[in-house]
Amino acid sequence: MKIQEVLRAFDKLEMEMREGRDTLAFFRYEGQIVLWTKIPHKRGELKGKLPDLIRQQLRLNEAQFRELIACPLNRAGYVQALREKGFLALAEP
Amino acid sequence: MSVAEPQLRRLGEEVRQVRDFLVSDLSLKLEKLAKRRLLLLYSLRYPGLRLRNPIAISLEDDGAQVIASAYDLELFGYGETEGEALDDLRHTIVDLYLTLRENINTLGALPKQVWEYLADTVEEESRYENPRSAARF
Repeated sequence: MKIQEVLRAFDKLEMEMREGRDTLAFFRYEGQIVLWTKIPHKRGELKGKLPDLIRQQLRLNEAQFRELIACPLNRAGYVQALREKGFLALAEP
Repeated sequence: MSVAEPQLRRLGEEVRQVRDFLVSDLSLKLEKLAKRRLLLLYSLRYPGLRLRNPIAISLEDDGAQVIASAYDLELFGYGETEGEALDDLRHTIVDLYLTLRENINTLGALPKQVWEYLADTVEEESRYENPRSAARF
């Protein structure tokens, strides 16, 4: 999996980036930070377990993560997936 | 041959299959566990921030790099060596600490729990005015 593909997915989810040694990406919903993940600054492929670690931090299963990267899963779909897992309970208006 | 013999043979075969499956499944899990090492992180190596209590870390070689995971913080670091992975994780912990501190009023449930843990664990040394501010979004 390419780093650029994951960065495009973060853009699609409107994640907020914090540039440091790596990029920390925060997902905010209804004004509240809900979760975060990180991705290397480098270009090229994500090696070894990194795609899996990012997927787990995003709270997605493998199929959902594939959809996120391949495009069908958008921000609204992601919010729905997090809601179903109870991650947005305290952020709901 | 008794009527029960074929059934016993089938049962024996099923038991063997279950045993083989469990042995193979457990072997894989043991192999993964053997590659994992647990340790405690005692320092962030960052001016102005010190750890009151150590942070539990898991180190694992995934074949492509070493991964350092801090499960309590939902964070990981990586590098070609254990030292690099730990150093990367230290930087990430500092980045997260500073970001959560600056967004303390807009933390959801999970970030709030992590912040409470970090606030208990990380101490800001008074001789340093204010550790570097996190970049704002």
